[in-house]
Amino acid sequence: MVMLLPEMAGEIAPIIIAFLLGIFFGTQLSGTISRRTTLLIIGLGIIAAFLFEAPIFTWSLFGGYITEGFSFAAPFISATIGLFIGKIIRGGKN
Amino acid sequence: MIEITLQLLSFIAAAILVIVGLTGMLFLDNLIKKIISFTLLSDGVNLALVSLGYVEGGIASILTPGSSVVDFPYNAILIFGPGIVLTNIVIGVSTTAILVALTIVLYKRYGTLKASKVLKGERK
Amino acid sequence: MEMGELKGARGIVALVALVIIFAGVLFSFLQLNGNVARGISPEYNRLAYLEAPNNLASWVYDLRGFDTFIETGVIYVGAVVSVLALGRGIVKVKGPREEEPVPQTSFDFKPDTVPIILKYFGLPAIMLIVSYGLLIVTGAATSGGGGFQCGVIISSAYLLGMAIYGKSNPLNLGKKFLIGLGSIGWATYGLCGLPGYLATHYWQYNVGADLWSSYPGFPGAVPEILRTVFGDPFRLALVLKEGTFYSSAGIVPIINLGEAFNVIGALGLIFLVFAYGWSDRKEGET
Repeated sequence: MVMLLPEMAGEIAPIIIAFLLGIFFGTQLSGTISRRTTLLIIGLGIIAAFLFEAPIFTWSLFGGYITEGFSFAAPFISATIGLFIGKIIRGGKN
Repeated sequence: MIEITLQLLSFIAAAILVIVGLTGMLFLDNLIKKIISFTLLSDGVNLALVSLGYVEGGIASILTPGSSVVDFPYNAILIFGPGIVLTNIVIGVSTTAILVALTIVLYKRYGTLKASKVLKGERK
Repeated sequence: MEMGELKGARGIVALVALVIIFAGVLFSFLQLNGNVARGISPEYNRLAYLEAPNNLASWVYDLRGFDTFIETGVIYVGAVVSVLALGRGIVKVKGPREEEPVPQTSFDFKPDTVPIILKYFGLPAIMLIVSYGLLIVTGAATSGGGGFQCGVIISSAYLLGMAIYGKSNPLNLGKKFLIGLGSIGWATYGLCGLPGYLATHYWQYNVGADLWSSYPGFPGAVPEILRTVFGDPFRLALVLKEGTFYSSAGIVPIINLGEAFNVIGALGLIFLVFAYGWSDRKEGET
């Protein structure tokens, strides 16, 4: 079996796709966000990332390779960061 | 004597949902209540399809680390029902959207939500 | 018919009819009770280590990918029909003009009456909900797919912004954007079936996972290059009792993206037109 990408590609690809989609939807966001609100969103996102990954998928993200048995929904975080970046790039002010 | 299992109870609940939805669709006058009864009916059908796959002491159809390829096929639940229900939800949402849209149009034209008055054609 | 009319003989007849229907429905359901053997889908269960760990998405896609393709078309058509029923703006049908068209009135959400705390936390909540939707749609590599669910979640974020902020919605999806998104999503879904068709003569065959080519009697073989290109980005190593297997969801995550776009377009269009009606005025104008 020929493999171009590493074994954990299935764990990395969702993070990249979520980041790109976050940028895509971030360009449609408008409104002003203060620095405190930004920190609030990222903090809540980290808490949510612990909540949203089912412990049953222990290999799902970093689980099989980096920290075993530890579930953390990294696509959520990358999507949130992507939203901010997209908003900075092309978001309107309101 | 039928053994009372979770599957039996959920089939009975599904039948009750279906009959409640049917009763509401037939005998309630308000169009919005008719739509709610329609969603109840489809929920009953969905519940019946999901409980079809119930296996006593079975495992979810998810391969966890350390599980066995040999044992998995004989313990996993039947996921045919949930698969069909996924489709059913899609169709249910689009039909509900169309029903609500048509109800709004009817309300704008007749000024009432009562099916009996709409059928008689009393314009506002 | 009103409930008040169901007195006397008509009520008794209706009650008897309902009891008969209930008995029929109940006994037809109860015939299914306990009649499901373990591993009733042994073919798919045996192939489970080739699919994604939560194999529902791969399974459903393999069994009825083409049906789901048509269904996503159904929901898009549902949205367009709703828009036509409400808006009467895009397509002008020539015909007898006996009735006046439905007047265009917009529903008032009254953003001024929303408490200030909702306005302050509205945008963070919308961003978190959109992130959650993106998590759901990208989770297809490991778990059950979430194209439709992602679409519903992101459109509900859109509806939340509409309810809180009115026309100055932070998640500012315009009509043309929504229509384009829906069409692009459906086209993505359809075109993803092309490699499978060219290789095996089955439209929407999952070339990345490639479950069936080792079975005898299967027409055509999937080339190695297709399997690598579509399977590798989502390949996972499963450490099971019998050894390490390499499973892949194949093209299911890409399909889910297309379906999510389609559903966002359809439901967003429905919400937009239900709230404001369809008019040629630009958004922001009153």
